[in-house]
Amino acid sequence: MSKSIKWVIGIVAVVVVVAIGYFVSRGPKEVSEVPIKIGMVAPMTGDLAFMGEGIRDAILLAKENMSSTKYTYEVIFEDDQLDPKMTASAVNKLISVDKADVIISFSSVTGNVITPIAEQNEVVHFGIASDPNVAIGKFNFIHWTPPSEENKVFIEELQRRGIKKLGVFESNAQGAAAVMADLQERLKGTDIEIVTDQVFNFGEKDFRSIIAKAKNSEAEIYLLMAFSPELEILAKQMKEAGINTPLTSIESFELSEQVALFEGDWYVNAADPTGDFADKFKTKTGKNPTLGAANGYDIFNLVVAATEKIISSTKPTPDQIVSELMNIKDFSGALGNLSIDEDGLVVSKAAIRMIKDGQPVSVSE
Amino acid sequence: MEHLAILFAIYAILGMSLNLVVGYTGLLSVTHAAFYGIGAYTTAILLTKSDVGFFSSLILGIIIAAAVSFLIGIVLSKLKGDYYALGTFGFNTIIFAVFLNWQKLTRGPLGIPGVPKPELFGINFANNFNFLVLVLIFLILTYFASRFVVNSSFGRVLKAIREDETAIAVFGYNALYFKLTIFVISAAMAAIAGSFFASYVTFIDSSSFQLAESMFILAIIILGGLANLRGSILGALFLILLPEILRFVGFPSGIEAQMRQAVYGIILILLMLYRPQGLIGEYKL
Amino acid sequence: MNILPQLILNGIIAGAIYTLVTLGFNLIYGATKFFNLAHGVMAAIGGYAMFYFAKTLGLNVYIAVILGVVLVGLVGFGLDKLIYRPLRKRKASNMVLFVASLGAMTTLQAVIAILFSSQFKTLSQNFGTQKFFIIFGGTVTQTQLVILLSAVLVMAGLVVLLYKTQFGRAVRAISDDEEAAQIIGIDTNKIIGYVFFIGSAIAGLTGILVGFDVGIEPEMGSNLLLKGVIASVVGGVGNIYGGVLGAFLLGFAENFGIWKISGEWKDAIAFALLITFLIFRPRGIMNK
Repeated sequence: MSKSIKWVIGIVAVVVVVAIGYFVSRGPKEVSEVPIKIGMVAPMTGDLAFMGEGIRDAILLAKENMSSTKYTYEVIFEDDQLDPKMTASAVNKLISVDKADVIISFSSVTGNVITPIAEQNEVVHFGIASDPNVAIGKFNFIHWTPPSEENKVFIEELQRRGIKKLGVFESNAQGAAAVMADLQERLKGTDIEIVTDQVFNFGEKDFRSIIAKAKNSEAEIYLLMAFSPELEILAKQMKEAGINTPLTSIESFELSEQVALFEGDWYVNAADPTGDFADKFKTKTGKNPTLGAANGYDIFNLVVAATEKIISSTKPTPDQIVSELMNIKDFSGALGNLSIDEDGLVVSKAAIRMIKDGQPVSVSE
Repeated sequence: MEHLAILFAIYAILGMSLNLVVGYTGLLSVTHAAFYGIGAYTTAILLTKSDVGFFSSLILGIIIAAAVSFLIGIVLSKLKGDYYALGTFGFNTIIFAVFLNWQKLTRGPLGIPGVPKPELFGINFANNFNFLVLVLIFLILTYFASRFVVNSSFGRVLKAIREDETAIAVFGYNALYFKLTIFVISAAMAAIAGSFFASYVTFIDSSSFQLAESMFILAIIILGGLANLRGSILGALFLILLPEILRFVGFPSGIEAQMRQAVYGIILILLMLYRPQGLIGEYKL
Repeated sequence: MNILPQLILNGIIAGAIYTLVTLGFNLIYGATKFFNLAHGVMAAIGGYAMFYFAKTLGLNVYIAVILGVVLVGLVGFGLDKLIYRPLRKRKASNMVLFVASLGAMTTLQAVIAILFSSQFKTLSQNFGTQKFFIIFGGTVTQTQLVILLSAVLVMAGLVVLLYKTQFGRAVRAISDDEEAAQIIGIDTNKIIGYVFFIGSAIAGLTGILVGFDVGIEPEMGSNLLLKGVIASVVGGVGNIYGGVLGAFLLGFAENFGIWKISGEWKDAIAFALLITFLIFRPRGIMNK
């Protein structure tokens, strides 16, 4: 047999094996109960895989803790590697092949890709993202404390403590950029000044020179707009550089595995009245919740709560789910008391907290 | 599914255009994603911030990519072999940094959302099928344009340069002119693919145009076969479909994505061990 | 202006790390002449091996380091034996080897992620409370001094190996001309196998040190590799002293560059330096 024929046979064999795997894994479907399908698109490989895994675990946790329901729910997880073309492919598969009714996404990049697709295909889309563009359209929602809310609380606290000079270390990525843009706008007209603003690229691990640059400024407190692992490395290198100035952050200290680094520091966070979610998550996975995990947990529960309100003899449609979602007020979630406003944004509040004895505690207003 | 077909068409254009430089001329360029990005950003910016239409933005994207590639090409012309490749690495990184940090123009890490679809004779391009037809038309145009270049006397000189550049100079051919021209043509085609990408996905950000993307396009043409246009099309088909097919294979949950990556890597290795000329390559590497 | 000493120190530390990467890379490149993308992953494997031996198994730190380094060397050796050598036998071109190494890098990174998850981990026990020293007005941690020391030792070791041993002579012969070396009776495949072992082991050590200094994640190798390559080109590919020089030049360029330009351009600066050298002095600072 010539080499090329061997080659063709090889390819055919691989395709056949894969196709068999495909059909076997799909399995026979019970026609009796058609479940509500909830898909999740998040990075499951690559740098941010641990975040995607965290959200997946949170959603599974929510599903396990569901009390008995009228309808059945199924979750499907797809990896997009935080790459827009893979996001489009993942969403396409979820909608065309899996017939998903709801899609949960993580990050503004992913969310922005999915939003028009969700709207066009009339599928509910819930983004865990800071960019309000992700919520454009009837079918699109966001569950993330908006930068405006967080900055409002942040500035109030700065003023309360009489801090006038702020130093900033920001990650050159979506989340931080959105918050900083809003913060700079809001600081106009106050007497608080940003005396140094050091930007670093996502993935950077050596901050020593930008720290050296910032050291000369007269900042009274440093705002670290970064997430794990850059956050911990940055804090550690600052201490090694001999900086003892207080540190603060928006939304990241609590999630760190090394909370001890931030002992005594106050920060802004989405309110978590019970801490219940964090405990359950830790019991299930052995790790602290990652960024967005609590949001994923809430979104699953919000969707289920909304869907359960629908009275229908056939499977509820995304359109119906959307209507019920828009009616949700005062829902008790992992991130506090939640309501959904007319733009499809989940209104969650921000609060000031502090790390005391290695634990996050609320600082009363 | 139209979605996969559209992606395939975009990457087929990218593959063919890179093949002109790498397969036919023998220049190992790993900066193709930069020109792809220029096309994408030009379309995205013009369509969201002004009244310029899709096809006009396409042309402007081509012009900008051509200009930038011309300048880069001149610098690269001084480099040979591995150094050439390294130089292209450098340019890709620098252009990526520009996409990421020239915030006034590109909105930096926030990306540009809401890029509209093309408008032509009232056809609704939000319908994936219509959009697919449009991209396929350009794919066919690109294919014939590439074939024309490759089969012409210009193309013969390119292959001669690939085989032995000094010999060609002896015959009085200005190798620089040929290398530069094909580099610019290739960049222009990549920009076309970029414009379509921006309009299709409607949201672009710098992360799509890094070194990894250039390497992916390179893998497509090496897999399909260097110096073979149909090979590039086949390579694009294979590499776009493979991860999607693997989505369905029942890997143990929790590590599906990493397993897919591992399989992808192993397939690349096996292909190089047992079929290095690619699926239907002519040019034995 | 007390920022200057700190910048100099930072440049030196960065240079030391890049030196370690480039020493391993240069060694392998010199003998095989292709751009081995999988070299970066060796650093990651080293870091994770250390993690497994020291933290999971609880072995003594020094033993764990030795075990880790040897393990990485074996992996590198294995890669050569299984993949690169058969390809070389068929006179496969550099592009094929490049793509094969891309496949190897992807697979190995995925395997690490499967075994250890993608979460960032640290090797040091006392994260955040390391001893640090003040030298000429700038601060350095203990780990960083160890990195500097290691770079010096490895470089010295390699110089001795390459210039004072028969093995080293064989390696240099292969670097100059592989076919000629074969003709005069050198078993090039065997020597290249050892070169892969040593070069990968050095990369593994680098990964361990970086793991102590900052931490480990499956993809840590890629960026290290790129910087190592830039250092090689700038300093002179295939030349040990050149590589070291290039590494420190790169380290300084990056850190001083950030002084005047904002931090987000750090990678661009590194590559601009590369391109400048490629244009004006492609053989690097130290010509062979």
